[in-house]
Amino acid sequence: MTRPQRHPKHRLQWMANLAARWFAANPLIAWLRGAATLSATLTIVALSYLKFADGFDLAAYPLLGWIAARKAGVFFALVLTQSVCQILGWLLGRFERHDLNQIHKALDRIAAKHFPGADLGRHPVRVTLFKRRSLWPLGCWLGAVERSGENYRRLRSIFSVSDSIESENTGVAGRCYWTGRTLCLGVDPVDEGGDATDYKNKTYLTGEEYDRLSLKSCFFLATCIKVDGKKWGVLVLDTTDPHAAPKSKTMENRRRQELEHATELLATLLR
Amino acid sequence: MPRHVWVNSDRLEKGSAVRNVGGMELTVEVSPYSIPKAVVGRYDDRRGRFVIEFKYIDDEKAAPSPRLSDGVEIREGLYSHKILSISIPIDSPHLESVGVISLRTRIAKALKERLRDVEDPDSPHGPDVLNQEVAEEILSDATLMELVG
Repeated sequence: MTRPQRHPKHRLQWMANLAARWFAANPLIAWLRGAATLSATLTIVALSYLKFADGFDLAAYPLLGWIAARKAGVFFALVLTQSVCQILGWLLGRFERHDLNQIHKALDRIAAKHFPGADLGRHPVRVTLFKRRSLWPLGCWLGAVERSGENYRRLRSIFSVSDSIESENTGVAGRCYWTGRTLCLGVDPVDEGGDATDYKNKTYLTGEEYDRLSLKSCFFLATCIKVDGKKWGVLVLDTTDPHAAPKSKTMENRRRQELEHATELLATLLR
Repeated sequence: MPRHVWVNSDRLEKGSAVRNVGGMELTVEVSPYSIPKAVVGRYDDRRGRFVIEFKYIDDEKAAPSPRLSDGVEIREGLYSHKILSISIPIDSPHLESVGVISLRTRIAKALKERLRDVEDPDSPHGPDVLNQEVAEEILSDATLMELVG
């Protein structure tokens, strides 16, 4: 597999990912659904009112008189408002809307179980949930949904993924997505300002992706998250501790079981 | 009457491999979604087959057409290509111990045949090789005896 050094669509994907995260986090959908319900109710009220409005003397109520004089226009505006709100709500609903607080708590629990003896002062430990996002014609990428702990919360890293071309899956997360399995990888630490070619090669990173890393981890454990068998995203556990890999078969099996529990836990929170 | 055997994944030895990618060691492990939680054995008297079903933490749909090898039918997951069930044509639901050995041989042959043309064991488009390793480990003689009843 030839790994690409540069990623021409990285910046565009990165911006699309920011937009996706904004849609996922903001309450616009709730407002739109509220507006759709309100306009539907108003349409029902308006229907009955406009049917009988001709028989009333509306001189004392200029607004009602104004509405009664524009029956078709008012009715059309209400129906149009409702339709637009419904369509926009449906479109925005296609972006993920998860209970991020619950996911954050779950990731914290996963971090504590996988790295129970970690020296958090010296070696940060992170658990990040990435989701596969796509936008034509930018292709697909993995964007962070949530991360454990309180540091490194910018969540701006993205990794390119593809279901058909192996070399377009970048980063350990992308590689994990391609295989659909669990990957365990240890790499040598990289010095700040030093040559990072070896690190980039071993972690399947392009130059742009490497530049955006907030932490140059040395140990990665990644597993593909699936919903009803379909690839949904990737869960990545990483730390700067190069000795975090399990040291015996028993520890490895225990870690495998913990990962099973983690995926089961996440399955209850994702759609 | 279906017979269930629960799988203790803590005791599984198979399901991981160390790959050398560009001079670097990468450990690839079976996905948590591809480790069976239980195995169910039942006799399908309508089709005259003994069916072994693997139960996982998810409910993945089956691929429309199963793999056939010498009468043994292997049904795979639609997306992950993990083994969902293996069905073997048999004459009677009451298998003698010789029957179990024959069952095991036929399953092993079909599973071997399934991986015959696999070039890249980590390709997402081919059979899930690590899942098969785990399935083979689970289907020991003792488990098969338990499933057959």
